[in-house]
Amino acid sequence: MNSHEHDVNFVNDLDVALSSTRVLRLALNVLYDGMEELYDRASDAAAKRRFHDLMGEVHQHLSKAEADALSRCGLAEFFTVIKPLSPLSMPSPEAVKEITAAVSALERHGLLALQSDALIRDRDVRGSGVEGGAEA
Amino acid sequence: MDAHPSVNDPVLELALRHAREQRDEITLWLAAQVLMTDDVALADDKLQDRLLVLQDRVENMMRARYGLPDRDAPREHA
Repeated sequence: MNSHEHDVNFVNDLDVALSSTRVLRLALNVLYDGMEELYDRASDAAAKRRFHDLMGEVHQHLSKAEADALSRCGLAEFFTVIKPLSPLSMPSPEAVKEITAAVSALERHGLLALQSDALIRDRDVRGSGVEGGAEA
Repeated sequence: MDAHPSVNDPVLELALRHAREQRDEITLWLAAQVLMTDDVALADDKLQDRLLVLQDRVENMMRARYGLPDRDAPREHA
């Protein structure tokens, strides 16, 4: 699989993963953008607070649903949590020991995901004819 | 084929004309409606009520434009 095919598959996977929340997210954005100015202009501070609380609550709900959908799709790109170390400014030996121990712990608990994991799962799932069976 | 009974209905024509004239508000009303149809919102009565309040506010904006009383304002009996 070349880089372009990977990019296309990645976008397609994103598209599928977010299909159930896409319309809701669009609706929330439309409502938020359209109503925010009206509430901000109004003198009723309580109503303004209630509006922002409601929008924030729906946003949190959608964010969780989106994250769940992405994790079910096995898009490892979204779960890369460790930045690479720069060889030009390496941490102290003590810090390296701590980092090594932390990464080992993550690996031991199956929490390390690499970009290649998503492609391998994607290929395996398609090959076996199973839909959406990948784990995060 | 028989004509649909609503053809040339002046009330329907007026409603559609008003809808065209208030696209921005109708977009907001529909956005609230879409959020209310979400499974979580349907299962959460409080969230549903709060979205309804928001939707009513949009409706009241449209009512105000045409000089109509708010949705929950007491009505005079005929």
